[in-house]
Amino acid sequence: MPFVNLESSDGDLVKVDVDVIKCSVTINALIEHLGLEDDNEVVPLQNVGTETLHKVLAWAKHHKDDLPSVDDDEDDPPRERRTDITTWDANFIKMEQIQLFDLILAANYLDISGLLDLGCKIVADMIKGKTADEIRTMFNIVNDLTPQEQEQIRKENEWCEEK
Amino acid sequence: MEKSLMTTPTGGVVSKFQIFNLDLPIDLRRVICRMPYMSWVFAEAPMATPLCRHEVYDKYTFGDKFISREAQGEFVFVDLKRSQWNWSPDSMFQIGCEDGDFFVKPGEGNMVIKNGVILNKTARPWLHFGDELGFMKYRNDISGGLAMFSFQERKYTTNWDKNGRNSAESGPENGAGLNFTPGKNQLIFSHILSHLSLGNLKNARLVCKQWDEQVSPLVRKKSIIRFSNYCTTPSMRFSWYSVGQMSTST
Repeated sequence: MPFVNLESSDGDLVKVDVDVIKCSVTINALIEHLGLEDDNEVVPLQNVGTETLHKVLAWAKHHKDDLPSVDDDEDDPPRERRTDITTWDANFIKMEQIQLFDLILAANYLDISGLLDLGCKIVADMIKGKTADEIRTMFNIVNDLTPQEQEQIRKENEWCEEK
Repeated sequence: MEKSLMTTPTGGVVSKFQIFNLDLPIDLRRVICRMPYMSWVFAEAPMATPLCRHEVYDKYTFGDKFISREAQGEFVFVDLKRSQWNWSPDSMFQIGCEDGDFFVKPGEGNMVIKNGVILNKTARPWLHFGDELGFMKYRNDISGGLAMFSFQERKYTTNWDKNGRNSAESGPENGAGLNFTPGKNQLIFSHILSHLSLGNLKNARLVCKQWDEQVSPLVRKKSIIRFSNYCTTPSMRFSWYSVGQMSTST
């Protein structure tokens, strides 16, 4: 079964090489659990729109020969992740915020760790170096903290030092 | 006077020597500092205010509980020059506030130098941010010249990220007016946060309540609070003294 038909939430069918989409744990599981055996079988993806699906597939195609990523040890204390973004990925991910978040949600739903990591890294880069005011403006977030709560947070922050 | 107190908040940098402006009549808002022990006493102040650490080792702020800048009035600080801190200053001076303007007055028989000029005993010159104050300093009762301080405006930290990134880089446009809150997907939000340094996480706490709830546990995991040496620093003695001497003047 070299190909599989993916059905987007918009009802569109996209035929894709199984080898390309093997990075998706969700699709692999669906293929396995649905017992799909021929190229005409359809895998429904209720949470992924057509436009986003095409982006996911473009990423997957480019990365189909990548080595599988090694999961972090959950026992390790949380640290700032360090992942370099390739030029191809940097160009690929240039899109509006709404598309970016759709892509991240799709990567999360399809369980594609590399793409999820890329999207989250980009959002993290957007946050880095920005003040709370700037972050709020960027993400259209309303500040519901009272001045007292903000001051309390500032005070707590002052005490906290890097481990 | 009250108007100026309420309308001139400046926020700010903090230090061992901090004078603040309670919402009280002028004569009750005076602060007396006995330098050898940093035994700050707020003349007739309504409550004692233990010392709270602020930003770095030699910077502190007051308060046994949070009091907003608006409620407390304007903060002013005298910032210690660390290199000259091996010796204990041993002069008394008083700093007060009138209509949002601050003045310094030498304690009786004590020498205070402002911007290189020895103040007359009866002098009460205004203080401006950036003014340098000098006091006699001692170690083991041996005079060691002057301890120098600068009078500085308090400034809040607004960006905890120490990497100096250009905050103008805004990333993808939010043309759709997307409202990004962690409630949309906490797993993804946690993943995003895992890419941030402690400084950036501190900034993120101040975005909104939801962000703070999500980010606080991470900040706790990634940070420590150092208590070493606090009880031996002169400034800590302030806290110790002030607790029992609410209405005492030195």
